[in-house]
Amino acid sequence: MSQEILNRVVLEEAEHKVTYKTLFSAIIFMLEHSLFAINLDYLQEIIFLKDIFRVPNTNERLLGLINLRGSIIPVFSLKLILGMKDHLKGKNIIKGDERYILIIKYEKDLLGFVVDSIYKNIDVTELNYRGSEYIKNWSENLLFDGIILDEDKEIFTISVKGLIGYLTYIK
Amino acid sequence: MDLSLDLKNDFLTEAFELVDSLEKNLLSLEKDQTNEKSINEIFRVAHTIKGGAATLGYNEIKELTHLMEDVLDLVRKKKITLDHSRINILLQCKDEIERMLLEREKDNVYISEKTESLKKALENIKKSAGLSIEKKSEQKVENVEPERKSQELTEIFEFIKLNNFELSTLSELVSKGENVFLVFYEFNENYEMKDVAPFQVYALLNDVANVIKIVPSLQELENIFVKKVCFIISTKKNKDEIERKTYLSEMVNKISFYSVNLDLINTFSSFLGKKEQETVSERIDKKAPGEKKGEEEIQKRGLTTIRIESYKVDELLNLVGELIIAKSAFTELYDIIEKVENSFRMCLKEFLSGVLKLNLSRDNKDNEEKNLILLDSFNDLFSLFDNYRENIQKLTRISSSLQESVMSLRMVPIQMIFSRFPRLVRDMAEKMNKKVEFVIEGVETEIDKSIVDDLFDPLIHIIRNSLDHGIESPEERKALGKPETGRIVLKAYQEGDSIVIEASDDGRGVDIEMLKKKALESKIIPRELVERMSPKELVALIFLPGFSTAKKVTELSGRGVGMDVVKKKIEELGGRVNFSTAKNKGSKVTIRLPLTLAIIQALLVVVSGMHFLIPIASIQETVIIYKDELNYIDGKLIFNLRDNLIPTISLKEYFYGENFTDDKNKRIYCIISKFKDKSYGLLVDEVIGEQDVVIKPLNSKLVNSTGISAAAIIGNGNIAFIVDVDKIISSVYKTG
Repeated sequence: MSQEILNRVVLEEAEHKVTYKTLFSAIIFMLEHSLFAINLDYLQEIIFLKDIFRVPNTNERLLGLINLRGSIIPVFSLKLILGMKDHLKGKNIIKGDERYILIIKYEKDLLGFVVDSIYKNIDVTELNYRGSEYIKNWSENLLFDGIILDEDKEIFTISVKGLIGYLTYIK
Repeated sequence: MDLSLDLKNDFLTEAFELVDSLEKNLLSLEKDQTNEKSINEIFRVAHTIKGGAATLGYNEIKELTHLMEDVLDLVRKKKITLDHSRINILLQCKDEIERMLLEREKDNVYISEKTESLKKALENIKKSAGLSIEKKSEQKVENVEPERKSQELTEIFEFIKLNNFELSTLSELVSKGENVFLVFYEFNENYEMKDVAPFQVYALLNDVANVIKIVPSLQELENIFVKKVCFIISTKKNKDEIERKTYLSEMVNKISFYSVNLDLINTFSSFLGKKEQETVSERIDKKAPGEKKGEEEIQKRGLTTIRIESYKVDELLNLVGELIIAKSAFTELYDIIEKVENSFRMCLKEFLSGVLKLNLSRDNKDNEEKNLILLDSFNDLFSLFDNYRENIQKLTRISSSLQESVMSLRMVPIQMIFSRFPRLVRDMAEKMNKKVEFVIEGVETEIDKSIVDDLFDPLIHIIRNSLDHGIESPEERKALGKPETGRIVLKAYQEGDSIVIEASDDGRGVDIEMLKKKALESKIIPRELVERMSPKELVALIFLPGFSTAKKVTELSGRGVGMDVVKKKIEELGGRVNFSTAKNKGSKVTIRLPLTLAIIQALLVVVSGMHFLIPIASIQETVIIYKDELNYIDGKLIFNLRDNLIPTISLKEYFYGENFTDDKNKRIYCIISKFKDKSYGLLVDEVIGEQDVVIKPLNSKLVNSTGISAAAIIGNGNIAFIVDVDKIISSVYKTG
């Protein structure tokens, strides 16, 4: 009998594997002690934090510009955008250190976000993802696409489109 | 590589250009019906498009251009004339071909009822000349010199194997007035040096003509003797002269000349069309290597231009940009080396004079020898420095030339957009029942490719305004004592580092009093401010969003969206726009654009530890002043330069809100710039020097800083900000 139950569980699991197809892959990163994710489709590359040159008379969320192999790319503080504190704020030249910049490409826009550390990659499926409708029930914040449930953690997925829209609005 | 795709792309690129020239020539033909150059050019264009379309199996294009060609042939032969309505039909055909090409670009086929009605209209024009197609084809044969039967022509065509590209090259040469001949040489097979005979004829022909193609090819003739060889030549000389120069009695038995005219090319094209059963790609695959080489030969000789996709030029420019950055790094390094070298020389001089004294006192020969070795080593090092200096200068020269050459690749004649306006003006004027003479000047003025594409919309706004609000109706003009036909002039020229585009008209101008009234009514600006405005300031109101002086809204303009959009667009392109007007005399819009958007010469300065670049074009001079020479008058900084009071802006204050007096240095650099005929000073902490920099535009959607127009990477890889001098001055001194 117990063998029968076990077989059923295995079969159900196998069925789940087929049913819950991968929606997208995401990269999970840390800001202070919180985890956030971003859709890998938009991620161009990850680089170590390099010298950022602040553009005068611009919003403080824009940390400045970096020289990425001859291209000039604006880099933003995701912490400041999400209402956290960032000691990089207001510095004329931010020197490179052990942190990372996520280089994001959305349509024609290429931009960077400073993050504290990279946690891991994850395949997001229908099983472990709650889309924006779920978030809209309790938040009107358009900066998130949904929530990834990973082990015991709930990880907000950054909406790249929403983020760029917000940055265009506040510039 | 997909060759048929390449062929398609080549055809479409060329066809779009040809269609533009079709319109231009039709419009000039409308003005002057006797303009044979335009008639020939239109014919050539229709013929070339037809040929290309037939090769690719684009039948809808082929059929329409074929009918156009027939009509134009009648015009050439003076059997019909092109009146206004016939020009209209041909212009509509041009639009139709353009639509067909656009659809073919997307791999679709354009089918419309309009095409059929245009075809009927063309047939009717042909009928009006009393000629049927059959009659015409008979005439073609009659015109061929000497008279030959169709069979003979087929044989010739089979022998010379001309492809579409070659046919269009021949057609181009004939249109240019060149004598084009097919010259058949029958060589004497008993001649001892028969193998070299074709090469001797080739050498002689080269002195009097341009040899376009040899059948069989020279490569084939190297291996085997061929009795009959055809040379296709273009020349200014006549048949007899060619024959006299190349007839070598011992080696040549017979020379036959066939004069190539457009009729013969047409016949050959139709032969080529019959072979269309083969697919394009099959034919390309089957091409003999010799034939391909032949094409290359023609390309080398016959064409002076090559087409390059613009992204390749941009890539090249990016690389030149990187090279210039690397060169700047070398130059900076050289400056450091020069300083080190000078201090070395000084130290060495002091050291040797000190040692000399010691030597004299101790009489030490060993030391003297060692000193000489040391001196030699240093001299070697100094000559290395000299060598380095020379090479840096060479590198600077070469990179500057390279930069200029690559920059010139990005430049295109402004004709690219100007040529689109005559038709638009003609159609708009017709719609409005106005008579307008549209004059274009300076079409050869070259402008950066990236600017030209964005310039069309602002210019069409301006010209539309001129036509709609500026130019009066013929009756109104007559009543005012003006000629019935109004005049709009679109002019371009280069002035220093800028391109100036002027659009002027001799219409009614803008009524300043009416502007004032409108400004008061619109309540956009406070009443007291409007009352105090000078005429120049009132005229500038037309650039305000939502401000329209049009009495009525028409289909074409008068909705208050226009001049503000023009201003915004031109400013986005790094330019400025100015408007001047005189009542009943006309208006003039002047657009001033940077010559290029890619590389500029700029002065590298430091402000609060950050690097900034001030474009050299904006700088009059740089002076060093003492801080106590600066005074605040009415909250604004002023200093006296050679008895002129110069309003000054501290960039430290402007960009970082820091007071310039906080710095311990007593002296400060002041960059003097000119803005609207007045000098202004910009205070900076340090001046590093002049640099050529590649402008890297900022993503205006995400980065918007007042006073910064773009960024650039300087020699050490750091980022410097390019200062928008005009914007800073106008924002601080509210000069608008």
